[in-house]
Amino acid sequence: MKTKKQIEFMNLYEPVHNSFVRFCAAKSYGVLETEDLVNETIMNAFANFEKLKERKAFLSYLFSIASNIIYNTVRKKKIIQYTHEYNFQIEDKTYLTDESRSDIELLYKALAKLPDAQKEALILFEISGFSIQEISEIQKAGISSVKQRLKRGREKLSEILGCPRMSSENVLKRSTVLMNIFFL
Amino acid sequence: MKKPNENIDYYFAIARQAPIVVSIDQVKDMLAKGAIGLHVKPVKTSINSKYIIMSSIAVVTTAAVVISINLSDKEKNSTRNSTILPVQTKVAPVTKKPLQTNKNVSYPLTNTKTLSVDNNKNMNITPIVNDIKEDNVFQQAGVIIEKKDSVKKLNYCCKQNKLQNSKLQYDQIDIFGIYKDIWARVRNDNKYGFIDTSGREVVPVVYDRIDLFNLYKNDFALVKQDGKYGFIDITGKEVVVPMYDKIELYGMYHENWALVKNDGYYGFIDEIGKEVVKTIYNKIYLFGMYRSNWAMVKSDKRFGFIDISGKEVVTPTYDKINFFDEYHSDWALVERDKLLGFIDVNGKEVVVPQYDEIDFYGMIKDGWARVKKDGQYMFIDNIGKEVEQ
Repeated sequence: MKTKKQIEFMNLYEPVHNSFVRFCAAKSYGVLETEDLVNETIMNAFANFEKLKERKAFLSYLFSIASNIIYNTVRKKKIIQYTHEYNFQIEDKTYLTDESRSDIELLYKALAKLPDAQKEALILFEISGFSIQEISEIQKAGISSVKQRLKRGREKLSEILGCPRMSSENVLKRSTVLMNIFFL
Repeated sequence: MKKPNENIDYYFAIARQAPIVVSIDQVKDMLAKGAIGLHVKPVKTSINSKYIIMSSIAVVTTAAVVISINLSDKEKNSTRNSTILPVQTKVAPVTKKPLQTNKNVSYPLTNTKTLSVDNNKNMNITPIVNDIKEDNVFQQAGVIIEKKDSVKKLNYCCKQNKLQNSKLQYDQIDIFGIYKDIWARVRNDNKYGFIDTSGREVVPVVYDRIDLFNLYKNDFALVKQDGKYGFIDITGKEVVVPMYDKIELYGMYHENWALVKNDGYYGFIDEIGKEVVKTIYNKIYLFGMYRSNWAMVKSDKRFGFIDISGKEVVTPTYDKINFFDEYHSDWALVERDKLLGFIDVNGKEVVVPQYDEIDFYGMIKDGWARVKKDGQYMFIDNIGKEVEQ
């Protein structure tokens, strides 16, 4: 039987489930298994759910727990610059084609080389599909900071992946379009 | 869509389309089980239930008791079967020395039980007994009891070196070779030290705990004395005096250094055990988070930086330090007493914290950033100087 706490938790969690799992997949690459990170985070979040006073802060609460788990695992495992040195393979459970899997691995490896804030912003925006406003809440940073992180992150990522350099206007344009969608 | 590898959006699109590895039903199921104390992992299930842990402890304890009973039975049998040989040596009465009360003199050990051996006699075996009690030294001295290899070895080395007195001063002697080929760990009154194959005490028996060599660093072994940690090296020398509450692994924060904690404050020791960064910081972050050779430090709720040589490049005076290159290349936004400014990559304060707000460079005009001071807006230029309009 579901408790009131479970129902309340699921009401907040269910809408962001897909985005959250995608975030975990990208963030956990080379550190621990995605499923472990998802489970660990949810169990922690659920166990301390009463402490979350403002339901608005749920996103920030959930993603901070996931980031902390990653940070602690890296610390414990003494992995500092790890992912590009090892060849981690995405599990077969994802039913991806070989080509897609290798492309995603390339992306995850490249993301691992970015500074944490930029990497997180990019994953949240490009892979999980959160808005800049939501990312600024998750990262507890200003909207302009998030935009800068996205811009610089994309530039660095293009360099690492060997894609033609993105013009900064492109990102700003995208951000403006998204801002209009979300706030106007 | 553009051809693969030409646009990073291609990679993001693929990542967005990847199937979700954990379904929402799995999460619901997990929460339902979590509510009754089960911690579910996809592959193996570990159970956190209090009762089950208690019962596991009970099972383990019972098993340990059964094993120990069996072992002690075995021991009794072996003692019963051991041959009692006639005493071949003259055994002098045990000389009792009073316990030394001076704590500073911990070595050589007190309460030494000495068996004087007549050197003229051809000795085959010097009787040495484990767990010897002063009352029954005489009884035990004439009996050969199955002994641990280490004691036999010690006995052998003593004989080789023609030691006249074989000191029975240790409660326990481990096997040689566990820590170092020619060393064996010895215990007395719950303190540990090392002896070498000649029976000489190479590390005094003063430590509460000695870890294996090379766990933290090559040729170093962690030691604990009175609740504080330090290091001894492979020659037995105390290279780091036990004075730290905690020592992290070498290489965790810095390639050649180990993080140490003393009375709640952190610092670093280098590879020869010298304190290169004094234990004065409340927190030290990882190197490379902000700049490749810098680590952020926190002291009295204020942040600063130290570099890879341990030098304080930015004194901890800031309430907040942003990442470099966010507002201006090679600059990082800093906040002190709710006022904003900038520091550069050399740690120099290029813009003294005096502004209530600072916008990004180039948002209004290239090379300029809008700032707010005393309720008025103005601009600062690329070198941080206020622009007169």
